[in-house]
Amino acid sequence: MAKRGLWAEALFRFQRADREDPGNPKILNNLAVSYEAVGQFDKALELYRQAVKLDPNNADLKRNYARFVEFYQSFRPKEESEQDDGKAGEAPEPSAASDQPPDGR
Amino acid sequence: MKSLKQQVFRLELVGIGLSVLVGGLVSSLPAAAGVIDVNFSVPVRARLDLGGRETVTLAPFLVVTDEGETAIQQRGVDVQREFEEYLRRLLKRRTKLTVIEAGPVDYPSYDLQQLADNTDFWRFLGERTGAALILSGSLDFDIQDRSGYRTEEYVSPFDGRTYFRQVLVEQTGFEYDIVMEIFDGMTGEQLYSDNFKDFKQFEGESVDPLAGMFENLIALEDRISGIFSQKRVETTRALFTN
Repeated sequence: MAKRGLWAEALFRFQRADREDPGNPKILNNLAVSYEAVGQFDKALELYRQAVKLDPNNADLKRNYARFVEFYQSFRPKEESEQDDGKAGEAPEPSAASDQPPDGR
Repeated sequence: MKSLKQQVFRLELVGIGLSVLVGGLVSSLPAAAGVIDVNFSVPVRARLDLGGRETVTLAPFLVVTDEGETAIQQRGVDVQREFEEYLRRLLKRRTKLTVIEAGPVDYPSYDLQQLADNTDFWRFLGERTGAALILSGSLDFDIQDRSGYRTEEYVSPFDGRTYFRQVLVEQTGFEYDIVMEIFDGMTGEQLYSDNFKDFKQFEGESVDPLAGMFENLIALEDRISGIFSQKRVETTRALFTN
Protein backbone atom coordinates (compact mmCIF):
# COMPACT_ATOMS: atom_id res chain seq x y z
CA MET A 1 0.00 0.00 0.00
CA ALA A 2 2.65 2.45 1.15
CA LYS A 3 5.00 1.51 -1.68
CA ARG A 4 2.24 2.43 -4.14
CA GLY A 5 1.58 5.71 -2.40
CA LEU A 6 -1.81 4.64 -1.02
CA TRP A 7 -1.08 6.30 2.28
CA ALA A 8 -4.61 6.71 3.60
CA GLU A 9 -5.18 3.00 3.18
CA ALA A 10 -1.78 2.16 4.66
CA LEU A 11 -2.55 4.42 7.62
CA PHE A 12 -5.82 2.59 8.26
CA ARG A 13 -4.00 -0.75 8.28
CA PHE A 14 -1.23 0.45 10.59
CA GLN A 15 -3.86 1.88 12.97
CA ARG A 16 -5.49 -1.53 13.10
CA ALA A 17 -2.10 -3.19 13.68
CA ASP A 18 -1.46 -0.72 16.51
CA ARG A 19 -4.75 -1.62 18.16
CA GLU A 20 -3.84 -5.31 17.97
CA ASP A 21 -0.28 -4.82 19.21
CA PRO A 22 -0.13 -1.55 21.13
CA GLY A 23 3.28 -0.13 21.99
CA ASN A 24 5.11 -1.93 19.19
CA PRO A 25 7.78 0.57 18.09
CA LYS A 26 7.88 -0.73 14.52
CA ILE A 27 4.14 -0.24 14.09
CA LEU A 28 4.40 3.17 15.71
CA ASN A 29 7.15 4.04 13.22
CA ASN A 30 4.99 2.94 10.30
CA LEU A 31 2.09 4.96 11.66
CA ALA A 32 4.36 7.99 12.00
CA VAL A 33 5.59 7.62 8.42
CA SER A 34 2.00 7.35 7.19
CA TYR A 35 0.92 10.43 9.14
CA GLU A 36 3.90 12.28 7.71
CA ALA A 37 3.00 11.20 4.18
CA VAL A 38 -0.57 12.47 4.55
CA GLY A 39 0.64 15.77 6.03
CA GLN A 40 -0.31 15.29 9.70
CA PHE A 41 3.09 16.31 10.98
CA ASP A 42 2.25 16.90 14.67
CA LYS A 43 0.82 13.42 14.96
CA ALA A 44 3.85 12.00 13.12
CA LEU A 45 6.25 13.74 15.52
CA GLU A 46 4.44 12.33 18.54
CA LEU A 47 4.57 8.79 17.15
CA TYR A 48 8.21 8.98 16.03
CA ARG A 49 9.10 10.08 19.55
CA GLN A 50 7.19 7.20 21.13
CA ALA A 51 8.78 4.70 18.75
CA VAL A 52 12.34 5.86 19.40
CA LYS A 53 11.71 5.96 23.14
CA LEU A 54 10.54 2.34 23.07
CA ASP A 55 13.41 1.09 20.88
CA PRO A 56 16.27 3.58 21.22
CA ASN A 57 18.84 1.31 19.57
CA ASN A 58 16.99 0.75 16.33
CA ALA A 59 19.02 2.51 13.63
CA ASP A 60 16.13 2.67 11.13
CA LEU A 61 13.82 4.28 13.67
CA LYS A 62 16.46 6.80 14.66
CA ARG A 63 17.25 7.65 11.06
CA ASN A 64 13.57 8.20 10.26
CA TYR A 65 13.19 10.38 13.33
CA ALA A 66 16.30 12.43 12.50
CA ARG A 67 15.13 13.01 8.96
CA PHE A 68 11.66 13.96 10.09
CA VAL A 69 12.96 16.40 12.70
CA GLU A 70 15.19 18.08 10.16
CA PHE A 71 12.30 18.52 7.75
CA TYR A 72 9.82 19.52 10.44
CA GLN A 73 12.03 22.18 11.99
CA SER A 74 12.36 23.94 8.66
CA PHE A 75 8.71 23.54 7.79
CA ARG A 76 6.68 24.63 10.80
CA PRO A 77 5.83 28.31 11.23
CA LYS A 78 8.44 30.54 12.83
CA GLU A 79 6.37 31.50 15.89
CA GLU A 80 5.60 27.87 16.60
CA SER A 81 9.22 26.79 16.34
CA GLU A 82 10.28 29.61 18.67
CA GLN A 83 7.70 28.60 21.29
CA ASP A 84 8.50 24.94 20.92
CA ASP A 85 12.25 25.47 20.71
CA GLY A 86 14.20 22.35 21.42
CA LYS A 87 11.11 20.19 21.85
CA ALA A 88 11.38 18.48 18.50
CA GLY A 89 14.75 17.05 19.36
CA GLU A 90 13.72 16.14 22.90
CA ALA A 91 13.49 12.36 22.75
CA PRO A 92 16.83 11.09 21.40
CA GLU A 93 19.46 13.27 19.80
CA PRO A 94 18.52 13.19 16.12
CA SER A 95 21.89 14.36 14.82
CA ALA A 96 23.66 11.53 16.58
CA ALA A 97 21.10 9.09 15.29
CA SER A 98 21.82 9.47 11.64
CA ASP A 99 25.00 8.42 9.94
CA GLN A 100 23.66 9.34 6.53
CA PRO A 101 22.64 12.59 4.87
CA PRO A 102 19.14 13.63 5.96
CA ASP A 103 17.36 13.15 2.67
CA GLY A 104 17.66 11.64 -0.74
CA ARG A 105 19.98 8.66 -0.26
CA MET B 1 18.12 -55.25 -0.50
CA LYS B 2 18.21 -52.54 2.11
CA SER B 3 16.59 -53.20 5.42
CA LEU B 4 13.51 -51.30 6.57
CA LYS B 5 15.57 -49.68 9.33
CA GLN B 6 18.01 -48.21 6.77
CA GLN B 7 15.15 -46.85 4.66
CA VAL B 8 13.50 -45.23 7.69
CA PHE B 9 16.84 -43.69 8.68
CA ARG B 10 17.30 -42.30 5.15
CA LEU B 11 13.79 -40.79 5.20
CA GLU B 12 14.54 -39.20 8.56
CA LEU B 13 17.69 -37.65 7.15
CA VAL B 14 15.79 -36.25 4.17
CA GLY B 15 13.20 -34.88 6.61
CA ILE B 16 15.84 -33.22 8.75
CA GLY B 17 17.50 -31.76 5.65
CA LEU B 18 14.21 -30.34 4.44
CA SER B 19 13.32 -28.86 7.81
CA VAL B 20 16.77 -27.25 8.03
CA LEU B 21 16.29 -25.81 4.55
CA VAL B 22 12.78 -24.50 5.29
CA GLY B 23 13.87 -23.22 8.70
CA GLY B 24 16.76 -21.41 7.10
CA LEU B 25 14.49 -19.81 4.55
CA VAL B 26 11.99 -18.72 7.18
CA SER B 27 14.65 -17.33 9.48
CA SER B 28 16.28 -15.45 6.61
CA LEU B 29 12.96 -13.88 5.51
CA PRO B 30 12.61 -11.30 8.27
CA ALA B 31 16.17 -10.11 7.70
CA ALA B 32 15.60 -9.67 3.97
CA ALA B 33 12.10 -8.25 4.13
CA GLY B 34 12.21 -6.47 7.50
CA VAL B 35 12.66 -2.93 6.29
CA ILE B 36 11.75 -1.26 3.03
CA ASP B 37 12.38 2.25 1.86
CA VAL B 38 9.38 4.25 0.78
CA ASN B 39 9.38 7.57 -1.01
CA PHE B 40 6.90 10.39 -0.79
CA SER B 41 7.05 14.13 -1.05
CA VAL B 42 7.00 16.65 1.78
CA PRO B 43 6.40 20.38 1.53
CA VAL B 44 9.27 22.83 1.90
CA ARG B 45 8.34 26.28 3.06
CA ALA B 46 9.24 29.28 0.90
CA ARG B 47 12.51 30.84 2.04
CA LEU B 48 11.03 34.28 2.15
CA ASP B 49 7.96 34.95 4.25
CA LEU B 50 5.93 37.05 1.82
CA GLY B 51 3.67 38.20 4.66
CA GLY B 52 0.78 39.13 2.36
CA ARG B 53 2.95 40.88 -0.24
CA GLU B 54 1.56 40.26 -3.69
CA THR B 55 3.49 42.49 -6.07
CA VAL B 56 7.09 42.53 -7.19
CA THR B 57 9.18 44.63 -9.52
CA LEU B 58 12.44 43.68 -11.19
CA ALA B 59 15.16 46.27 -10.93
CA PRO B 60 17.96 45.74 -13.48
CA PHE B 61 20.46 43.09 -12.48
CA LEU B 62 24.06 44.28 -12.67
CA VAL B 63 26.21 42.26 -15.05
CA VAL B 64 29.63 41.57 -13.57
CA THR B 65 31.03 39.16 -16.15
CA ASP B 66 34.83 39.19 -16.34
CA GLU B 67 36.83 36.51 -18.13
CA GLY B 68 34.14 35.26 -20.52
CA GLU B 69 32.83 38.75 -21.27
CA THR B 70 34.34 39.09 -24.73
CA ALA B 71 33.16 35.65 -25.76
CA ILE B 72 29.60 36.48 -24.71
CA GLN B 73 29.57 39.86 -26.46
CA GLN B 74 30.97 38.32 -29.63
CA ARG B 75 28.18 35.79 -29.64
CA GLY B 76 25.55 38.49 -29.20
CA VAL B 77 24.01 37.33 -25.93
CA ASP B 78 22.37 39.99 -23.79
CA VAL B 79 22.81 38.38 -20.36
CA GLN B 80 20.76 40.97 -18.48
CA ARG B 81 17.78 40.97 -20.83
CA GLU B 82 17.69 37.18 -21.13
CA PHE B 83 17.82 36.72 -17.37
CA GLU B 84 15.19 39.31 -16.57
CA GLU B 85 12.78 37.91 -19.15
CA TYR B 86 13.39 34.44 -17.79
CA LEU B 87 12.85 35.61 -14.21
CA ARG B 88 9.62 37.36 -15.16
CA ARG B 89 8.31 34.17 -16.75
CA LEU B 90 9.43 32.09 -13.79
CA LEU B 91 7.68 34.36 -11.28
CA LYS B 92 4.50 34.22 -13.33
CA ARG B 93 4.63 30.46 -13.68
CA ARG B 94 5.76 29.40 -10.21
CA THR B 95 4.48 32.09 -7.83
CA LYS B 96 1.33 34.07 -7.14
CA LEU B 97 3.18 37.37 -7.35
CA THR B 98 2.18 40.02 -9.85
CA VAL B 99 5.15 41.52 -11.67
CA ILE B 100 5.11 45.30 -12.08
CA GLU B 101 7.36 46.94 -14.65
CA ALA B 102 10.05 49.05 -12.98
CA GLY B 103 10.66 51.40 -15.90
CA PRO B 104 14.07 53.03 -16.19
CA VAL B 105 16.13 52.74 -13.01
CA ASP B 106 19.10 54.98 -12.37
CA TYR B 107 21.35 53.33 -9.80
CA PRO B 108 23.17 55.68 -7.43
CA SER B 109 26.07 53.22 -7.32
CA TYR B 110 27.20 50.07 -9.07
CA ASP B 111 28.64 48.58 -5.93
CA LEU B 112 26.32 45.82 -4.76
CA GLN B 113 27.02 46.31 -1.06
CA GLN B 114 26.52 50.06 -1.21
CA LEU B 115 23.32 49.55 -3.15
CA ALA B 116 22.04 46.98 -0.66
CA ASP B 117 22.62 49.42 2.20
CA ASN B 118 20.83 52.27 0.43
CA THR B 119 17.36 51.81 1.95
CA ASP B 120 16.21 55.25 0.72
CA PHE B 121 16.84 54.25 -2.88
CA TRP B 122 14.83 51.03 -2.62
CA ARG B 123 12.02 52.71 -0.68
CA PHE B 124 11.80 55.37 -3.37
CA LEU B 125 11.70 52.71 -6.08
CA GLY B 126 9.00 50.87 -4.14
CA GLU B 127 6.93 54.04 -3.86
CA ARG B 128 7.36 54.86 -7.52
CA THR B 129 6.38 51.43 -8.80
CA GLY B 130 3.89 50.55 -6.08
CA ALA B 131 5.54 47.15 -5.70
CA ALA B 132 5.70 45.47 -2.31
CA LEU B 133 8.90 43.65 -3.23
CA ILE B 134 11.90 44.64 -5.33
CA LEU B 135 14.18 42.07 -6.88
CA SER B 136 17.70 42.98 -7.85
CA GLY B 137 21.23 41.62 -7.75
CA SER B 138 24.06 40.72 -10.05
CA LEU B 139 24.77 38.27 -12.85
CA ASP B 140 28.04 36.69 -13.82
CA PHE B 141 27.77 34.45 -16.86
CA ASP B 142 30.99 33.05 -18.28
CA ILE B 143 31.71 30.94 -21.33
CA GLN B 144 34.87 28.95 -20.84
CA ASP B 145 36.97 27.12 -23.36
CA ARG B 146 37.57 23.81 -21.59
CA SER B 147 39.23 22.08 -24.55
CA GLY B 148 42.22 19.92 -23.82
CA TYR B 149 44.06 16.76 -24.66
CA ARG B 150 42.86 13.39 -23.48
CA THR B 151 44.79 10.13 -23.58
CA GLU B 152 42.98 7.56 -25.65
CA GLU B 153 43.68 3.87 -26.17
CA TYR B 154 43.61 2.41 -29.67
CA VAL B 155 44.47 -0.89 -31.30
CA SER B 156 46.64 -0.69 -34.39
CA PRO B 157 45.06 -2.38 -37.43
CA PHE B 158 48.54 -3.22 -38.70
CA ASP B 159 50.11 -5.06 -35.79
CA GLY B 160 47.10 -5.55 -33.47
CA ARG B 161 48.93 -3.93 -30.54
CA THR B 162 47.44 -1.39 -28.18
CA TYR B 163 48.85 2.14 -28.28
CA PHE B 164 47.98 5.35 -26.50
CA ARG B 165 47.46 8.63 -28.29
CA GLN B 166 46.63 12.20 -27.32
CA VAL B 167 43.33 13.45 -28.70
CA LEU B 168 42.13 17.03 -28.63
CA VAL B 169 38.69 17.25 -27.04
CA GLU B 170 36.80 20.46 -27.63
CA GLN B 171 34.57 21.38 -24.75
CA THR B 172 32.76 24.51 -23.68
CA GLY B 173 31.85 25.33 -20.10
CA PHE B 174 29.03 27.64 -19.02
CA GLU B 175 29.11 29.10 -15.57
CA TYR B 176 26.32 31.19 -14.12
CA ASP B 177 26.69 32.99 -10.82
CA ILE B 178 23.64 34.92 -9.66
CA VAL B 179 23.36 37.10 -6.58
CA MET B 180 19.72 37.73 -5.81
CA GLU B 181 18.61 40.40 -3.41
CA ILE B 182 15.09 41.20 -2.34
CA PHE B 183 14.05 44.50 -0.80
CA ASP B 184 10.90 45.62 0.95
CA GLY B 185 9.17 48.18 -1.28
CA MET B 186 7.70 49.97 1.76
CA THR B 187 10.78 50.29 3.97
CA GLY B 188 13.64 49.73 1.53
CA GLU B 189 15.16 47.13 3.83
CA GLN B 190 16.84 44.06 2.47
CA LEU B 191 14.66 41.03 3.19
CA TYR B 192 16.67 38.30 1.56
CA SER B 193 19.95 37.68 -0.21
CA ASP B 194 21.23 34.51 -1.83
CA ASN B 195 23.83 33.30 -4.27
CA PHE B 196 23.03 30.70 -6.94
CA LYS B 197 25.74 29.03 -8.98
CA ASP B 198 25.71 26.44 -11.71
CA PHE B 199 28.26 25.02 -14.11
CA LYS B 200 27.57 22.97 -17.24
CA GLN B 201 29.99 21.53 -19.76
CA PHE B 202 29.26 20.45 -23.32
CA GLU B 203 31.25 18.75 -26.07
CA GLY B 204 32.19 21.04 -28.95
CA GLU B 205 33.69 24.46 -29.38
CA SER B 206 30.78 26.38 -30.79
CA VAL B 207 28.00 25.38 -28.45
CA ASP B 208 25.07 27.81 -28.52
CA PRO B 209 25.66 30.12 -25.54
CA LEU B 210 21.93 30.66 -25.08
CA ALA B 211 21.43 26.92 -24.77
CA GLY B 212 24.23 26.79 -22.20
CA MET B 213 22.76 29.71 -20.29
CA PHE B 214 19.34 28.13 -20.13
CA GLU B 215 20.78 24.82 -19.01
CA ASN B 216 22.24 26.74 -16.08
CA LEU B 217 18.99 28.57 -15.37
CA ILE B 218 16.85 25.45 -15.54
CA ALA B 219 19.17 23.78 -13.06
CA LEU B 220 18.69 26.72 -10.68
CA GLU B 221 14.96 27.11 -11.25
CA ASP B 222 13.73 25.17 -8.21
CA ARG B 223 16.05 27.05 -5.90
CA ILE B 224 15.05 30.44 -7.29
CA SER B 225 11.31 29.76 -7.17
CA GLY B 226 11.75 28.21 -3.71
CA ILE B 227 12.44 31.72 -2.38
CA PHE B 228 8.85 32.75 -3.07
CA SER B 229 6.73 29.65 -3.06
CA GLN B 230 6.37 26.42 -1.20
CA LYS B 231 7.62 23.41 -3.10
CA ARG B 232 7.62 19.69 -2.54
CA VAL B 233 10.70 17.53 -2.29
CA GLU B 234 11.03 13.79 -2.44
CA THR B 235 12.01 12.12 0.81
CA THR B 236 12.75 8.56 1.93
CA ARG B 237 11.66 6.77 5.10
CA ALA B 238 12.05 3.23 6.37
CA LEU B 239 8.96 1.09 6.91
CA PHE B 240 8.95 -2.19 8.83
CA THR B 241 7.29 -4.95 6.92
CA ASN B 242 6.85 -7.67 9.52
